[in-house]
Amino acid sequence: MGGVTLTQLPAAALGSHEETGFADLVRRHQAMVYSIAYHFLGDPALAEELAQDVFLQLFHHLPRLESPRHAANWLRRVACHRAIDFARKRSLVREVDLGSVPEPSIAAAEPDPLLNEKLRRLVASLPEKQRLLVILRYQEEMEPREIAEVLKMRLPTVRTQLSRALALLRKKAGELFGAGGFREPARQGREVD
Amino acid sequence: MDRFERQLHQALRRVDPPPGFAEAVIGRAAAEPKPGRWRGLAGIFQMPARRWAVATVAGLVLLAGIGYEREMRRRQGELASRQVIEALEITAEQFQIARRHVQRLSAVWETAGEGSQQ
Repeated sequence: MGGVTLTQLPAAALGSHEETGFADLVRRHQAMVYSIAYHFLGDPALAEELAQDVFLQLFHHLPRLESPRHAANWLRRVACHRAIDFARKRSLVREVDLGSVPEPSIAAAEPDPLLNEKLRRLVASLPEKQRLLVILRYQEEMEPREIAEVLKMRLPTVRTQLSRALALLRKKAGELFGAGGFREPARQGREVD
Repeated sequence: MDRFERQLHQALRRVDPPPGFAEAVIGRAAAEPKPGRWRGLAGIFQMPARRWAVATVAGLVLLAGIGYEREMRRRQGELASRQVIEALEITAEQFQIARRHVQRLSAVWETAGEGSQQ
């Protein structure tokens, strides 16, 4: 936290130390919050608006934050809940038009932006809870136990939902990319560890 | 993590917000009212779960208040009716005494009337 503890942040006004502390939190976590919003909503402008709202909420919540880790988890949780609220309020039913994206090259060893875009669209087509779990698992590299803690869900529920989400994604990817796509029979139906 | 999951990880890697994002947030925060005790208290009512909890508690308090008032009115009504019955009983008793007194006086007058006729 650059020498400024979180307990120093909730002062009467945004002044020297407090501004530094809040600004530090914003700069440190902006990519995380923005990415959760972006991958969930699929809209850069909405993602930016949501991320700004989350950080403003953080600003008002500063007096109750206990540690940098608490701040990070709080931001993840609020970003997730706000993303769901945003999507519901704006009736963001994502129409996944996979035909509009050119066919990706599966065999390419290098990261393929088109393939990534198709995968992001597949993720965007998931039910909202499963979408969030996939984002936290693969964007934030969180373990199911951590996800359960942050989202205040039961661990078996997280595992089951993640497993279902992955199975659904594999199925859709198989339909989209053909039989040679992303099959992995050994793990089919197994829960995510 | 298999190939599909690695590809998912690759597709969902973090992306940076547009340039100037942090500055915009900090600018908006600087223009916001200060975070403080009363703001924190107000924040309680802004959270959906807590809002429901507060509404439920308020509803229960209201129902309890209404129930208490009804009970008090019922007791006051019972007390008033007991007092009316008691007053009527006392009045009836006084009436009986007066009636007996009048009967005694009537008997005396009748006796005195018969004596003067003789």
